[in-house]
Amino acid sequence: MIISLNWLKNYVDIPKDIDPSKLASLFLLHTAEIEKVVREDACLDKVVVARIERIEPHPNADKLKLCFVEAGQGRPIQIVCGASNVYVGMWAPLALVGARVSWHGEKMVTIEHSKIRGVESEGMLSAPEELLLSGLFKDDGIIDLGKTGVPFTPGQNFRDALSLDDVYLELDNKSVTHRPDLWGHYGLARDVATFLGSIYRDEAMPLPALANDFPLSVKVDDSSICSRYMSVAIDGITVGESPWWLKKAVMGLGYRSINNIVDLTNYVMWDVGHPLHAYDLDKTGSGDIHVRWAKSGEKIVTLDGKERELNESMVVVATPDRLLLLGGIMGGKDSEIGASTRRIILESATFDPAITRRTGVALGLRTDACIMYEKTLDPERATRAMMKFITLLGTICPGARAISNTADIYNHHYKVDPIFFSPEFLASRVGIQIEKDFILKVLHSMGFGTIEVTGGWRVTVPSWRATKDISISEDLVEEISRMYGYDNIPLRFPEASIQPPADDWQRILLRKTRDAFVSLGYSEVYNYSFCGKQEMALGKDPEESYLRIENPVSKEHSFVRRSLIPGLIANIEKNYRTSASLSFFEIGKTFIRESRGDRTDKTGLESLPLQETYLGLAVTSPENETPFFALKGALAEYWKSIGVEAEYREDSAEFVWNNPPRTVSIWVGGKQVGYLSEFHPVIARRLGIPTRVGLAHINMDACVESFSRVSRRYKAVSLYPTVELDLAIVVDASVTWKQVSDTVLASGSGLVRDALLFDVYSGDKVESGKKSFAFHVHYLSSEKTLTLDEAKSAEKEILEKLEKGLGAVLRT
Amino acid sequence: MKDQLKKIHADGIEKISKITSSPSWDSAHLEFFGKKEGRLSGISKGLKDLSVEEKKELGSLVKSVWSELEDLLTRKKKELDNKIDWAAEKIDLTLPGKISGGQSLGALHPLTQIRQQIEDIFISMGFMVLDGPELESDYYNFEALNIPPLHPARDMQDTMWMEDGNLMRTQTSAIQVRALEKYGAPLRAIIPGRVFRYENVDACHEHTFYQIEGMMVGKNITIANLIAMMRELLGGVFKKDVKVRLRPGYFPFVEPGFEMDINCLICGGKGCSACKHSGWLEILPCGMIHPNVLSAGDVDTKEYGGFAFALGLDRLVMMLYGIEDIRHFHANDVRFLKQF
Repeated sequence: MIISLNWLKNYVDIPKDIDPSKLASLFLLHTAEIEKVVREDACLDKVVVARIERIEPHPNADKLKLCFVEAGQGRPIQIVCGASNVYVGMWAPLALVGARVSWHGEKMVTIEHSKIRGVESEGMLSAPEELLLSGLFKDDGIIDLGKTGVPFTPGQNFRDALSLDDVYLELDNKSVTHRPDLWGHYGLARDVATFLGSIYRDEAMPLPALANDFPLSVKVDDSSICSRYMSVAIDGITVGESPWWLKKAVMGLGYRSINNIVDLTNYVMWDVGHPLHAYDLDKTGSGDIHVRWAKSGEKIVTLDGKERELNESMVVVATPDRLLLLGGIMGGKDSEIGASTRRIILESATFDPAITRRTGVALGLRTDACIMYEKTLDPERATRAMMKFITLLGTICPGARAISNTADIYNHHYKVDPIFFSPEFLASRVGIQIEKDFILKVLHSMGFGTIEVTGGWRVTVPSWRATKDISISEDLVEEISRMYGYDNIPLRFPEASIQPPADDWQRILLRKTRDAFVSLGYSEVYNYSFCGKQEMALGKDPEESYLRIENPVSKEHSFVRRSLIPGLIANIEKNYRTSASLSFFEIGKTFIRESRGDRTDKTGLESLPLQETYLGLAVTSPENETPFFALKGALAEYWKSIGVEAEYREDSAEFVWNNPPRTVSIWVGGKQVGYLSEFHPVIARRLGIPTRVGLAHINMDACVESFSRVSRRYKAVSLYPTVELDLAIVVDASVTWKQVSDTVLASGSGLVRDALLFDVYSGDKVESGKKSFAFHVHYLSSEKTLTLDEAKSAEKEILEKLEKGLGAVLRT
Repeated sequence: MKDQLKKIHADGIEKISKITSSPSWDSAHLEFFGKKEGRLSGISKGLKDLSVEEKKELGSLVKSVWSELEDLLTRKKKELDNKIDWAAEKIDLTLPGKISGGQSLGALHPLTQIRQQIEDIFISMGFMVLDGPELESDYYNFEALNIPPLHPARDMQDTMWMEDGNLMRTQTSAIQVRALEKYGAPLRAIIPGRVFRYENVDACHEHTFYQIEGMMVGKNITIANLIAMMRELLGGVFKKDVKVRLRPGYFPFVEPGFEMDINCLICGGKGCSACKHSGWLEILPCGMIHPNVLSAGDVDTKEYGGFAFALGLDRLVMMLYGIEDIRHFHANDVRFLKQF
């Protein structure tokens, strides 16, 4: 919202010499966020009011004119001008030589004596954008001052003539959603008075005199519709142009000037901080005002000319035969104030915030009034708004007078119990002692009442802070400390027990996991928690098992994921053209509808879906036809680094994304924790991924327990050297390495330390249907250094067993 | 034989002096001392066929030649061992390195890196690091945080709702009350995590982004404590003393509520487009935890109070690294990931 400094000065003294930026800064530090400071007179130095006396065509240019203007300099001055709206007798602002004006809104230029197409020009008749006054003047061409209705003298200082000396502060609405009292200059001025230490001028205003010429009766159906409803009928209205002060005030806030009555309602709304509405009494059809719920399907044409269909959750102001207003939002066009209006019904009502908000959102019509009502306004302001309007109306339409009683239905007073407050309590929350005198000064300046009691005060809360903002002593802590200035509070580190928190195994496991895979060359990706049909097609879970978002950002993000695999596949798909070798990992949550997760509230009766943390891995490189092993190798290093033993079991499970013959399930601590496989070759081909992709999906939460139990024990390093002998055997293609290594380890008279495979071959050099394994065998004794012969005799035993058990033959 | 020996002696000295490399040393050694065909070895073997007097005369001669040549060879070997052909040692040092026996490093996502740095700052102060569900209940995400139904604050955060009435959490504060229920007071913890808002994605906005929530609940926790901790956090993150200012801010779950701004890092406070010419960057909403939130967590508000804060991780990382577009974080382009 826009705040006018001059407007604030009606209620509080602001020192003349205070820099507006400084004031904005104080505002920001004590009250709420100011985003911009705009000086109205940024371009008004050396600008005077001039009257065009004579216009002649420019001798050298068809589109230009020579204007001779009277600018209080003794003789008319000559100005070259290109605008088409100039006329003799026109009053316009003239920027003299030396004035700085805005050029096309981009930069400032200084007016100089110049020749335009060979003719001298001693200044510039100005358009709104050149003086940065586009908010106030909408002329297409030179500003026509005749429209202001203000009398001028030639040469008059333009700024002073129209009081264009205001400064506007733009306040971020989000920073005052909790302060309904700040939605108007009257309320804002109080905060300003408090932080400036100035006096706040809260004027009293008289209620209209009782009258009974017009039968005005009001009925409010339901007390929840509005906390207060007031109205009065007024005669003696003459609708016309608003006086300049009123025009300027509302235009400065961004409104168009419509007519004196409508402008006045807008003015009062932003003065008092409470919306008002004026109906043309003679277009209401009757004085029986009924404030009620709308009927389903009822229609109203609002002031913007659009017809709206209403429902029963919306509120209307109506007479027996027509609708007058959509409660809290906007008036009806039928009873609009127009040139012919002689009598009005003035309504000052405090509509319910929730109803208004719901209506505004439903119809997409969140007007200024709607936004204000949503803040929960103080119904006490309804009176003030009405009184202010009537007082100012007296200066605009001197013949205006009330012709009915003032209807006042007061459904709900906002009251808050007095709050006990003490300097000790304040100190305990702030961290330093704040003087009693300061506390009282702030409280009183902000409208709180204080009664001294033992140990402190009983603080009474004014109505305008009682609608939702202030109710507990912590609210008062904020009130005092913000006025004290947060930057005046010194730093002090808190004291706490140094007992360290309990070990968080999951966090440590995840850190180690990330570090391990980074050193193994994997890069971490972050994929969205969402998924769509494309991702779901890669898994075998049916669509009903996925949790759906009611208002997703897009169709592709309508569900939440059950696996990290589709995301990783997309990462490969996206990157393989950039880099042929890719290795990614992701640690993230999945959402499983059918399993119970954390409780939804204290009762624990219902649960959220289970959201466990998973590790996903993907690896691919151009020459690698079996990336399964690349992942298996990386995983081996990983298990070692975290000290956990993992087991793999052949498992031709089919998940759609995997390659069943190349799938194993992973087991840790006797539990199945995930799968290791490769991307289904056909789907990969379909997606255009040219290489085979290794994929793994592991439940990290399921590994935490085993990880927390890891204890490493040192195994004594042997005193004696090992003997290494190589073996190459030929076996049937169906024989697995495990079968070979199990046999080797079980034989050799107990002297076999390990068998390390270094080659698997099946090509021309071996029979078809066969393959060869070549491996190192390490022989070691714990008692002595083995001789070559002893090793060789163990080798002989191994060969015998291999021959017998697996039909292996020594390779030649 | 004596002449043979003399020749061997002369040849030996000449040949050995000419040795410049290991292979030529080996061949010289073989020539004179080789077991099968070494000239000196041969003479030595031949000694047994001589008469006693000849043996006596030649024997000592053979011995002296043997030890002299052996000595020369040993010295030559030492010389060779210490010799370096420096010219051959020169290589093009600007060639790229080649890792042996391993893969080149992968990379932690930049959001993870900064998150861990911040976690470490707090862990060093005894804070727990907590986690919670991303798909939350209305109760923990709003109600327990003093945001009842129909509260306009629900608007300020456009929520993604699930079909079953739950929602994708809009703030990590959702975990505050869960943490209080589980651990009680006193408690100090940070809660990093992914949060969701209904937003259209562009260079500055994402529907999925990251916060680090923090809370400290105890006896006698004050605003002065909050200011100290926030400055410590910011100093740790930016690795220097940063100029900060604290001003009123409104959030339903804290009272008083603040916004902490830092001096714009890009223009140093003079004003630029990054800080909208104000010289300050809004960075850290924080405040004293509202008693209603503490009560929801079953904490006795007469005994305990606390502060809470929320750091926007994406924005911070973008500031620290000069990343211009928030979409990079989820695009997962290797060219981006490998830079960190």
